Amino acid sequence: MRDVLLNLMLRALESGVADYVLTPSRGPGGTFPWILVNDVRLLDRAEPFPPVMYVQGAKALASFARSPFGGKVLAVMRPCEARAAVELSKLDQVTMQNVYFLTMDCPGAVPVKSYRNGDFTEPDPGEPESLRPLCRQCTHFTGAGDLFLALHGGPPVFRPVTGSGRELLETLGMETGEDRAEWVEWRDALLRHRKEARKRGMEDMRRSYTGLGGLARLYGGCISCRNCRTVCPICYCRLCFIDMKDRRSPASDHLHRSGERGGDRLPGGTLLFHMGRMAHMSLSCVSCGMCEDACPSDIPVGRMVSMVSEKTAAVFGYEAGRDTEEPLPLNTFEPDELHEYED
Amino acid sequence: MTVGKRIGVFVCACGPNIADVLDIERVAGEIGKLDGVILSETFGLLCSPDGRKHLVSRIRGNDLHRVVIAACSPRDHETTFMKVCEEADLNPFMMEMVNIREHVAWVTPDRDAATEKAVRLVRGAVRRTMRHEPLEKMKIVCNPDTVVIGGGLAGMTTAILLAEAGRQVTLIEKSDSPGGFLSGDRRVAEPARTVSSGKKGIKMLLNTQPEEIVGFFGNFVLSAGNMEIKAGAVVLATGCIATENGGFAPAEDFGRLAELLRLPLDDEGFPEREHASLSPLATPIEGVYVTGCAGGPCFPEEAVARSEAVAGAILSSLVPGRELETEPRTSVISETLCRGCKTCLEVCTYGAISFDAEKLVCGVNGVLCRGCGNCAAACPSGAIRSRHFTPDQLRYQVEGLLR
Ligand code: SF4
Ligand code: SF4
Ligand code: SF4
Ligand code: SF4
Ligand code: SF4
Repeated sequence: MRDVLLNLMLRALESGVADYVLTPSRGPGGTFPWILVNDVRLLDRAEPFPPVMYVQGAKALASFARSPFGGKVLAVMRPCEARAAVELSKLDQVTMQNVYFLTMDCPGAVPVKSYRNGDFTEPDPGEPESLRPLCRQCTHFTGAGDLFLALHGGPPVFRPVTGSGRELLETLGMETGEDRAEWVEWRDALLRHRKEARKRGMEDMRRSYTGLGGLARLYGGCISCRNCRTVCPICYCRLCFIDMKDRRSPASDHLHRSGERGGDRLPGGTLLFHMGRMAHMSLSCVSCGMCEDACPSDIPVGRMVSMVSEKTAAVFGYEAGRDTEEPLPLNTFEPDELHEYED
Repeated sequence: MTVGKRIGVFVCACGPNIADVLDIERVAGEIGKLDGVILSETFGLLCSPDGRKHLVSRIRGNDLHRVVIAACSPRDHETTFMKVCEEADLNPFMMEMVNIREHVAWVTPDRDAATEKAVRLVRGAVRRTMRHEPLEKMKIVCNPDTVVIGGGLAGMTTAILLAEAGRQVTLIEKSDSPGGFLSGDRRVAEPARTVSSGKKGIKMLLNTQPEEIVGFFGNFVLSAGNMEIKAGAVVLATGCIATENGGFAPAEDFGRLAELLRLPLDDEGFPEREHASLSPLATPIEGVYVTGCAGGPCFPEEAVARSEAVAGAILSSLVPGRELETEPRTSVISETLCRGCKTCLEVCTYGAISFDAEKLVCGVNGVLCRGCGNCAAACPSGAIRSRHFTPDQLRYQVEGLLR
């Protein structure tokens, strides 16, 4: 299947459909840095199916494709990465102009920790134990971007999603017919299974971490390293609210609090950070699991944000990463809505 | 400029309005114990001439740097007390009002609860004023000129009336000749000659359509082509058209014009009015008027009458030499923090924000900004500060309130 993808990248570059290919590659020491390939000879370094996620693809794309540029890019990434790019485009952090997104039936990713320890098997949706917790409950494992590679129910085949994906395939003289029945069957079965797993996972979270006490327990072990924020494609601020000087209390407030309650926890704001982060970005969370994988304290941050995201998005009938034209709920003013939450 | 921290607190009895419900002596007493509070006292009616005189002498006599006034709604008397500060040579932005009438006395019947609530609110305000900084108002002279959009009978009549009263008018017409709907009719022949003559202070721009309109009453800037037209008032005289089902609709490009002005429209697409019967020709935007069929279908006689009313309204409100104070409580965008997402651009109803395509950041035009704070609330990256409503000031206030 790697060959099939490499072949498409090659043909895209040779035919001029794309001028550059953005893809993970095989780097030194078993790493997978993103590269922007222009010379077809470099394509043999491409590794579109790394077993881990080191840098979220949308972050890689946003690192250079902030505003419109000349030339066309074929970006090869996982569904959650392409969906994160959709979210970033809504806030002008990435341009979708001149970018084709090529995704695949995502096999999932293994935790970076197990990968580095050599303690992993190649990701396989059929064997969820090896996958990262959010991959195990991922319901968006296929059908993202402009086109994707269908791996199941027969030999690998490219499938168009959007008009420009269809055009790309047609230009390269490739089939764009109907989805094959075996693939549809595979997708539906996995989807059922994943929905079930997600439901169970969310129930677990809710049982374990209900209320302020539950949240305090969940984030109690947070070492405030902010890794979760750094690796998240959606957290793109230059300076996070929690690090702004004017969000700090003066000494007198801490002393006062300590005096009133007998003590004050320092540095404070752990809960505030996580609640604030959720309030800022959870509607755009694409459940990519980067945050959770990066947490040195094994806190299920990703599952928490993802769960909150699903609930809040449902209020607005919103789905992160679905459509660039779908406006961000918090940026849309509706004079008449949400009366059910009044009083 | 660093300002000292001597704070004075004045609690108003508001006749019986406040004093009957809560114990204002206790409020003043509690607040008097706070750090930095030099004096904390009550008074019968602070907004009365006596009250104002009293305030001025107390501020001066005690060399106060910051003042908290616990009284009624700022809607009623903020400007009153700001003036008092100015009289006492205190920057008016060093004053903070606490609404212990509407927010406490009128809604909290229990005496103890009301008193406690007032103490907390005033404590928040005391802490807030500690973080206040003096802000300076700028004065700009308002522009007495008018721009009229649409060169039909109504537009021409308005322009001629204003010009006859000695005002400069720019008349913008999208086609290549004036006349509009009545073109060729003898009723527009004379006005068309007048506006085309180039005399009398009317400048006519043919084949022209506005591309951008920013600003506010007394200070509009309209761009068309590569021209910038400055005016104090804008008159919309763009006419209307008959629809297929026998009704009427505004001229085709009126929607676009309304968008440039951020003018709210009714269901039929005509502009909403400030007040349907009192001022049927003034729109909700101060300084923007409609005349002729742009405000709904009418006969030529009525169009002329409407234009007379509009010209009259402009002549009486837009007096040459009148000064406008700019709002110093504006917002500022930090170039270092801005991610250029343009969210603020969309929410600013005053067109005060623009995007710098080179630096990929947004910036606020301080003269156009009215300090509504929309942008600061909407910025997902915390890059915008509203002066006088900084996070620092707000958190000080909230912490003071919660203590
Ligand atoms: S919060 Fe976590 S799961 Fe959600 S988008 Fe960010 S990194 Fe991915
Ligand atoms: S938590 Fe909020 S402020 Fe911090 S980086 Fe994320 S979105 Fe920005
Ligand atoms: S990565 Fe984990 S430990 Fe670090 S800030 Fe996030 S939740 Fe806390
Ligand atoms: S404060 Fe209001 S008027 Fe000023 S720039 Fe922001 S949104 Fe515009
Ligand atoms: S909303 Fe904030 S980050 Fe976005 S452009 Fe405006 S100032 Fe910049």
